Amino acid sequence: MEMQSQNKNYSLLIVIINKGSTDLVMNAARKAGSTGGTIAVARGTGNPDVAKFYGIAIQPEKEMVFIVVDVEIKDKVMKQIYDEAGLGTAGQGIIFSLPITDAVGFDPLPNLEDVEQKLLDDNAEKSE
Amino acid sequence: MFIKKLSKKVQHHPKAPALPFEKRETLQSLSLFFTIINRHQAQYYVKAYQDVGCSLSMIMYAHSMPPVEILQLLGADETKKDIIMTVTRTEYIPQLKKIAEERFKISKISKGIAFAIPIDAVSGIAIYKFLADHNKEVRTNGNAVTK
Repeated sequence: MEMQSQNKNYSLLIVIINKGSTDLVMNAARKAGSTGGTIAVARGTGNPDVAKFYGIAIQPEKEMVFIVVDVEIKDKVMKQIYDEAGLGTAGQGIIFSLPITDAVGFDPLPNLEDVEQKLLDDNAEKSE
Repeated sequence: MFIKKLSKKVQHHPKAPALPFEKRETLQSLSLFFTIINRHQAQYYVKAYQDVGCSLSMIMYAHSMPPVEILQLLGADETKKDIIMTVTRTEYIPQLKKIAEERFKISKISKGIAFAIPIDAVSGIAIYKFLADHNKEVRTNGNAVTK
């Protein structure tokens, strides 16, 4: 099923990263075209045997970064985050994405000059 | 004679290019399973989910916001919550739901909610293998899951 909102498709990127490494994620995401993200603190628990098998160290202190991105740039953002904050780095980031079915509030703010001009035009029409 | 034989042996066969991972292996679909329960109840679920085969669970602290009328009616109920986010194979979801449902029935304190959201992309083969416990079949049966 197509995920559509305001004529745009969005995805939610979730990055699970070691505590203190969120700057790596946000810098990488901004480089790839994302505008912002939300950080939450979490406690990580994983199967130690499986983690050891794949060479992944699970520290209990984790931070999670939630980033909503346009589907068109999703792969680019994920690749950039993986390169700069993935398993090979101090962040040891785990990145995955979820589909978003509906979203509001992602439209850019209107240009202030346009708003002023519209108000002036409206006032001029009223005075006539 | 010897030279002839040797030259036959040294014949080079061009190596076929390696196939991409998704074409070589059978991919498992992944889901993110949310469990929202009262504070300090998370350990049971995490342990039970790990026994099923879930590799990674994240616990976050949260506060619930029930309607004021319900709070006044029932008294000061527990509003501190734990949110468990578990990344798992989609095929494990029914088992996880069963574990959660049975636990929710025990008492009022253990009541909670659980739901699953599909994951549509994971970056990195090692991360995928870790999250999907990709080699579980290899470890348990000695049979590789390949196409």
